Amino acid sequence: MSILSFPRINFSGVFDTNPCTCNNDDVEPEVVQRDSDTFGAQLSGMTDDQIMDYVRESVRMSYNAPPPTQPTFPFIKAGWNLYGDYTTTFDNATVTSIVTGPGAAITSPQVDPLVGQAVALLGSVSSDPLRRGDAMLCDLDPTGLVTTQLWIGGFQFGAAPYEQSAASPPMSPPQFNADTRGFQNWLNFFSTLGPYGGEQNFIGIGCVMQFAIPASAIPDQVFFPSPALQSFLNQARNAAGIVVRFRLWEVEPQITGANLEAAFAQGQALENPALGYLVGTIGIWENGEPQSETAGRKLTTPFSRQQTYYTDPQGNKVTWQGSATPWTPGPPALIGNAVALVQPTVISLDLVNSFPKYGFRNPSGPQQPDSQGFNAPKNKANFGAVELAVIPATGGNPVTIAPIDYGLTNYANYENFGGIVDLPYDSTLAPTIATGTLIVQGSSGSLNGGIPLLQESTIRVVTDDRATYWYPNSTNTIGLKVYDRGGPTTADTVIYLYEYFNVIQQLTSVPDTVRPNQTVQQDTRGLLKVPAQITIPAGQGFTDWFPVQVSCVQSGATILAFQTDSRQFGQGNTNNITGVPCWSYATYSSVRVYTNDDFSGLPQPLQWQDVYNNVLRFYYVIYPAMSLFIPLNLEDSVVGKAPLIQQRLNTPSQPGFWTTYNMPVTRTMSPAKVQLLLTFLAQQSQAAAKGT
Amino acid sequence: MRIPLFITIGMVALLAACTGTAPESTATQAPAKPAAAPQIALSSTPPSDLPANGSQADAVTYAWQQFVALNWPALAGSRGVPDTSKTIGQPGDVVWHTWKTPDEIFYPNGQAPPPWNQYGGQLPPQCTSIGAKPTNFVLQRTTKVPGNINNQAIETAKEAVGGTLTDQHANLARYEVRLNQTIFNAIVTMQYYTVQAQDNASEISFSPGVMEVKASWRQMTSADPPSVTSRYFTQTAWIYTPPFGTNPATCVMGTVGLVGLHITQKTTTLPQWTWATFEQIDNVPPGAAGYTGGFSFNNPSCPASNCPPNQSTEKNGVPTGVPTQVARIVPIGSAAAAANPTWQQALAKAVAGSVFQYYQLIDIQWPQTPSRFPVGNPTPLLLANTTMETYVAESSCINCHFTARTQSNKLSSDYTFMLAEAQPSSATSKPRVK
Repeated sequence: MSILSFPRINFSGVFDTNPCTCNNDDVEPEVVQRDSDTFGAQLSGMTDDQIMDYVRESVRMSYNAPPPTQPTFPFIKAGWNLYGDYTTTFDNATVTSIVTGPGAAITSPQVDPLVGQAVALLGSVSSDPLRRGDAMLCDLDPTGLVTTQLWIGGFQFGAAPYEQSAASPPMSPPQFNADTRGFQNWLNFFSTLGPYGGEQNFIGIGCVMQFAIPASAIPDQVFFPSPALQSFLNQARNAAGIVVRFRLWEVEPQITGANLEAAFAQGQALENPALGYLVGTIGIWENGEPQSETAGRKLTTPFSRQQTYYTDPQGNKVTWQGSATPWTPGPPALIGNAVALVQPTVISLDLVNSFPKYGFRNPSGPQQPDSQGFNAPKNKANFGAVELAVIPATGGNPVTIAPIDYGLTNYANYENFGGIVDLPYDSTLAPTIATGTLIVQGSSGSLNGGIPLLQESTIRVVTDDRATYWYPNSTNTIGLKVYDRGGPTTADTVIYLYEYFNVIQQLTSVPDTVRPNQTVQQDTRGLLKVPAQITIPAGQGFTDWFPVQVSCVQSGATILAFQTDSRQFGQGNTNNITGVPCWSYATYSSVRVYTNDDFSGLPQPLQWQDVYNNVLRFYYVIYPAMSLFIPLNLEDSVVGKAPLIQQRLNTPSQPGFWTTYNMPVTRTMSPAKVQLLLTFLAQQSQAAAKGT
Repeated sequence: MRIPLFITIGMVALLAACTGTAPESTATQAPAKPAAAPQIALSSTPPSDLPANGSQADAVTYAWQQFVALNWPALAGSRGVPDTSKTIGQPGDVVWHTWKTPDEIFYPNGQAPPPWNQYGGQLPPQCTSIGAKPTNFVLQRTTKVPGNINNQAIETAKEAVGGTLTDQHANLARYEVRLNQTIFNAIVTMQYYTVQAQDNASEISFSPGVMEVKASWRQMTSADPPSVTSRYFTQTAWIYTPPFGTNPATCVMGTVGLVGLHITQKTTTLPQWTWATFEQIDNVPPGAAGYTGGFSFNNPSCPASNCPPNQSTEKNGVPTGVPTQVARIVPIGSAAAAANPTWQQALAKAVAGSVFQYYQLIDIQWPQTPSRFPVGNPTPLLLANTTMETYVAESSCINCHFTARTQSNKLSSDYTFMLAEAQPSSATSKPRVK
């Protein structure tokens, strides 16, 4: 089943992403209005030049408390990457192993030449060979933390076309092309532990993403001399296709705020992509499995959060204490989510996102003297000996299944094998495992002896409708699946539907010198009309998606969560703030309902100034990378590039919307604005043809 | 993996420690003794590529090497061939200025162009009526992008980047494009001078070694004394002005001075091409030390309220004669600024009074990570020539040229806008309007 079954192809490398951050409201709230992605209150009344100057200014802010309690750092108001173009790549990512069965791994290119081959993300295929671009990382709601998505056009093994290494075969690299997306799963704030002196505040954040390539996209013949790959593809062709699951963490922009400030002051423009670690696995996408999440039995942070311990390299013991319930804000989970697949002789456990690394590669932040950047030694934080166990359905003490090697003694055991461990188990335990609750706990006598670090959520709800773009006043369907210990449910499942939304929390108790806090809050605006709860009958929602009808009442961006506990996140908290940690394990769809703009009152024929002010101006000043291709403030350049714009400007009902070429990348332009611009371009084209 | 930009900054600081002083004017002051500078070998052979894992400083060296080789005196009787018996700065036409112009390649109805060494082109009747011949230098463009191309890839009325540019003497700046023999041969071989051949192609991809230059010129007038004109590479030209508003087209003979030069090349390792741009040093502030001759495109005495910077002074698409107040928005690159004095001194030393010592590299944009689709991480991100990207506050050569397409818009045209100038062969097509 998915990446946990066999064969699986593991890879590791660097995750490289270049999103534009001007619409994040990271530094200054209300630069952008979240729901419409238009100018926020901060920019009201400003001219283009004034806005461009404003977003390039720097401010000095601290985290959590004002100076002198906390030091200040320079931040650009537009965030850490004003000139980002959203392109996202795997850099120097190579196949590290091919696991063909329990204990059977190929790690040498002499045994199979797929090992060591590059793994590359691709943009969408185009009929124009030179137009193929990159995958694009763009949140549905960039002002928040939980709606990140990656627009993908495929992936390939082997060097990119522009680079022909001596090692690659003299033929096209095996490519698997499909327009698809990956979504942020299991946001993990403790991916890396230890002191961090950098000011970008990315610290320990990481997440998992997964995307799928349908079997129909696998070429009938792939010319590559790898028996393992050929065998893998034969299986994938007879299944639903291929899934690619990867984890990114310790992602860090390369240019400090101070250097960006200096560059902008000199009139220079700098892209500032963020780079992080990448570990991934390519597996068979089985029929009936979700695309966007790894299928299997899900283990999350246990909610009777006992103290958990780890030691730093000096042997100092660090204590972590979580909150007791999922609906109160609290520190994020220390150990990230995991997924288990019980196979005939092993339990395959996906720990790619679970156990933290200890020590940042640039402990003082980017561009500081460091321990050699990505070449720095990598170590797992020491949680002591841990094991997989099962709590019997009849109750009682957990029963040990097998010890877990999470890469503590040899980091390569984690990095080279996709973070997945295959744990042999005693076959006599099979009935207990089938009906019990899996846990990861400290082994007896160890640092966390008897302490549960992860516990199975036996009922698991999944949706692939992770980010949706809906027309005003439309009615749509979200599909849900529900599992009991990875299999069909044997009892009805009640699911509670709640709306939440991203907020920028500028605490009134602290001055403006403290950086705003991004968080999530219960959304009482009622953007959507949904049932308060639904019941999925026993056995349904396993092979087929269970439909939930959702009507759009108002425009805006919201998060629709599907919870098995009736208590809302944030319940009882001030302003019903949920905090962000619960979104590490929640099941939710991010929803954007487009604004219902009405331009029927504009004078005819359409005038450039009206089109510029209503459509293009926002994108010109907020996303400068777009205007490097087509200056959006110049009528002649926009009109002159009409064919290019017309190809790339789409609404969700058009296939082009789902490619990596769609303009704008943010997909925040309402259908009415799209239509206004297209109408203007057609009008100008007709006028030019008539010579008027 | 992406190369962190801080490494480039560090190397620039190292290079800056090795440079000498800027060149003095030819006025009455005794020239200051230049500081010792690294040895520069002036060569008529242009570089073919950047070094592997090159830095911005390497790219700057490559750009200057291009400038020197392309401005080498041209061998008489040949096109695109340097006269190796001479050195750069000696009188005469220069190599790039003997390359083909687009109208010598893209003829009406897609007819085949004449061979490389033969001059041709479609001259405006206003110029031929006063004696202009194909072998003469005829300047036909008043905008960076031609306004007379009947296709969708290039706008029909105004340039892509804002319109005409008027200098401090109320004259329009003039533009031309030249293509080297490598790209000419490719166009002829593939018949890309026809729209049909372009449409039949599955991909347009030129081989390494193709080069284009784009030049901007200003008219030398009686208001420019020898102390000014001696700072320009000048040529005698037939200067064509297209009709504007109710004003008819005109053509006059005159002297023009080079004010801007884009040099672009596709190399083996850099499929997104390299993009260097040079300017004459008196275009806009800051001025050369000690020079009092004024700027070509800026009046420092005019306040912003009267002379808003980088705003077109056209009215309803018609030049008014009001000078455009031009200011440099994107600064000269630090590596270029550090290297310029060294190259200028070398040029001054090669030929006393060489006009080419009065030119400076603004910067060179190149794809630092060519494999990063599709534009290869252009570095620096922004690059602008004040005479050719006057009205675009922030522009990128590579990003803009990436949008270049064939005449029918079917395919990307490999970073050159030239293919869009092919003229359809249909008899019912609209003729080019001068």
